[in-house]
Amino acid sequence: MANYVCPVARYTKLETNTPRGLAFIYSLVAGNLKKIDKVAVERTYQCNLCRACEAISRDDSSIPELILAARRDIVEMNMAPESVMKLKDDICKNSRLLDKDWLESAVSSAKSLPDTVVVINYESESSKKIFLLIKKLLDRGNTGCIEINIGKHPAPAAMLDELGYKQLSGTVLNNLTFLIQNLKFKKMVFITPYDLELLLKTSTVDAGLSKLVHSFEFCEGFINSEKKTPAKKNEKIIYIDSGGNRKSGKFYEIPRKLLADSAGLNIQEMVWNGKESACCGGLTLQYLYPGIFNGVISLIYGELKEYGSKKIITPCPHCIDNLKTNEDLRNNYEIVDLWEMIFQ
Amino acid sequence: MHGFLNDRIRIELKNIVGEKNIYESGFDKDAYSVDVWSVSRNWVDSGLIKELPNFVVLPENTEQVSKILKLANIYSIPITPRGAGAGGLGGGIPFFGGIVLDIKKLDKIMSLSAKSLNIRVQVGIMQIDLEKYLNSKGYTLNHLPASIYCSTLGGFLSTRGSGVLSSKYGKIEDMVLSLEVVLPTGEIINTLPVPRHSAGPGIENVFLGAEGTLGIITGATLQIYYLPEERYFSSFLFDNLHFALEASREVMVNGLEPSVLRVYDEGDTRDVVKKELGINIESGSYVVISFDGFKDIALAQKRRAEEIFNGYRARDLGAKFGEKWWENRYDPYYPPHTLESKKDLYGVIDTVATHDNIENLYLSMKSELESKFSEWGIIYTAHFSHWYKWGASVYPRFIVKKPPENSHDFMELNNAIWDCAVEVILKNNGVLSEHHGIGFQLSPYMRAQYRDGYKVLESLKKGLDPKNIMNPTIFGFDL
Ligand SMILES: Cc1cc2nc3c(=O)[nH]c(=O)nc-3n(C[C@H](O)[C@H](O)[C@H](O)COP(=O)(O)OP(=O)(O)OC[C@H]3O[C@@H](n4cnc5c(N)ncnc54)[C@H](O)[C@@H]3O)c2cc1C
Repeated sequence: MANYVCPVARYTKLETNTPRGLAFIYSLVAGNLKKIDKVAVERTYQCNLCRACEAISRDDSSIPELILAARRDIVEMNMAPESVMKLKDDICKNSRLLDKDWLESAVSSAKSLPDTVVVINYESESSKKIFLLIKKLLDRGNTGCIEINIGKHPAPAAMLDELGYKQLSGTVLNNLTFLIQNLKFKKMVFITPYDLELLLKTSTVDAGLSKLVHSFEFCEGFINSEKKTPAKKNEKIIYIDSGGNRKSGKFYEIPRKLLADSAGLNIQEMVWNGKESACCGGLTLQYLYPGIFNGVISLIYGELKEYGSKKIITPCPHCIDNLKTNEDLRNNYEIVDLWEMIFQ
Repeated sequence: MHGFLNDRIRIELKNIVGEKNIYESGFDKDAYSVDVWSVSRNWVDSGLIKELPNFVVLPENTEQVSKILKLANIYSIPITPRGAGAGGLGGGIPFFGGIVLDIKKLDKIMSLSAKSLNIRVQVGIMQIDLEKYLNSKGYTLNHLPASIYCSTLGGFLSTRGSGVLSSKYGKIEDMVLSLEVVLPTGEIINTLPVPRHSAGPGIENVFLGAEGTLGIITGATLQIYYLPEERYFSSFLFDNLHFALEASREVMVNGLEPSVLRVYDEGDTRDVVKKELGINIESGSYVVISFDGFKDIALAQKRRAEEIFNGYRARDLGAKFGEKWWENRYDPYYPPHTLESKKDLYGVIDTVATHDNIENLYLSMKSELESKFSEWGIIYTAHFSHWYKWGASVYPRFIVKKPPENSHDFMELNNAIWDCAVEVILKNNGVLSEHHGIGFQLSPYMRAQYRDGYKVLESLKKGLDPKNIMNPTIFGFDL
């Protein structure tokens, strides 16, 4: 019944977009009372899989898992909408992790670097900035740092999985595992958590998984060991959570902890934050239903206006890119990357 | 509806709200054919009812609501106003087809007065959105129902809903300064700017709790509050329910103002409290009480209440469990969604009565239901969670874990349980439904409930909705 923690339903207001509405659709299908049709497919793909409904439910039974299963069935029945197939093709075309030649050359060119930190990055200015920051910090301690740019999309395995292409997603993960097993590195840092999470959840081989970290954890460790105190500032900054992984909580806690340690910062928490934060669905929804994607960002914008500050801070480069797609937000707010601010 | 008429209405609706705000597909219409009423879900799951409405329409402003009602009057099309469909009594179900008028796009916050502490809003706003908005500014509505994440303000106004802080701050109708309403014939009206006056009886009460039968509420000006400086919680275990009820009555009649006062019967104490709070209690009656506001005033009131409770030999379980209850107060209501709908037959027979009557009402209902429906293994537990100086409400729940498989028999058993409960309620001077409204389920009992006063309601209905298009199943009007 946590219907309107769902950012999509908060925007569209339609009952079949709510977790309850979706569960209802699937129960009619499972009970052979109705067959999946175009509308059921549409509602199924309009969910942004942010997992907020799951996070505030009380046990592990989950609507998002039902949705993922439904999407796999839809793909199998050849009922996937054109936009889904187009996005799938785009991911396949523009993700280097699906390119065998690239994989081979990545492995051979970076093979002998046991002390190096490898950053798994994608084509985005914001994530590039984070990589450069990490590199600069590591340079000071004479630790090598290289970037492996996996292409246009931040998390191809998670995205294909979201779309219902489990096998293709598995291929990406296998190739990622190949990379991990054949490279020598000290740590592998993922700029966004989605593929890392999926890998940790599904991997059956010990591919040095303990050396894989999300950038939040890595940066936190680095800050802890350096015992740096950021410069004092007193202006009010609004903090926006990333959608991230809601059940683990660490993606919510780490940035908060760092901000709390940053004396002098006047941080305004948004009321829709933490497990309930509005996630715009930047992974796939932005391609499938741009209207809803924009609608959810406009919800965020609407809330921001209440806080009387023109500066916002977020720890997620992918969120920065997505927020910037909204003209009002881009024009009226300065969007600060948390890591950039802290390291400076 | 004839195909030709259907087509015509669609075109006219499209002219009013635009194509993007009209839904006609099977799954969408199915979702609007049920609410949280277990019988409705049972019927859908058995394939007995489907795709009830002809159209699901989401207007974006009050003028559009007005135009839709005018249109519906021309063609005598039934209108079912819909908030978020969280009502548990079938009030939002379009049994006669027609148009479901989903008001959730009327969700704007119009203005906030920091001086008078009030807010003017459109009532399609989700309660959680409104509360979070207020919190972001340091205020609260102090209306915190368990269904805060799944209901609209309009739903609460239309059913006279209540939240966990009601014993101090009142029910939703106590927070209303004024309303904007679209009458069944399409006129947009506003009630007087403030509710306390001597300019006649005022008219906002005509629409509060009317569940759309007398018009659609589109806007409201509501009293708001500052977030409290402090909340203090305590929890107690009484030897039995009688002591717990008596002690709580004393708290109220002596003018103390607990924001939370919840008394659990022995059954709820054993099951719910154990499950939710992890306290191993085998007998007795559990009570959680809270005071909020300025620290010193809340603390002084808390001490006085504790003295009263001590007089009844209550065991003080400390603040911890009360605080835990507060932190987890929504959890029991947000279970995971599962593919299967629940096969249980269940219902909440929330009732309100004076202190003289409430305990007896509860006991009689318990013994009647448990003896008459023992073959069905009926489980009956209750808590008393909304308190007044003059009385209290009881929130009894019944569950039949193995109801008949056949939907007709399921409905018959459901009705028999309600008939029995209602008889007890009326005999004990109770009022059926304290905050859940009437819906489809309770409509047949309204004549008996109001007795001769029912005429007043009927006249209002006749005068305001001459074509009986507004939520025609509710209140059992015979026009
Ligand atoms: C898990 C759960 C917990 C609950 N806890 C509480 C609680 O603590 N306190 C409480 O009071 N209730 C509670 N309820 C009941 C429910 O939240 C209320 O009945 C609420 O009013 C439903 O709001 P809604 O927006 O979903 O309305 P709906 O269910 O859509 O509609 C309810 C009735 O009001 C009419 N209506 C809706 N909007 C309007 C309008 N704008 N103008 C005219 N008529 C309208 C509908 O036609 C219908 O008859 C709970 C329900 C659930 C499922």
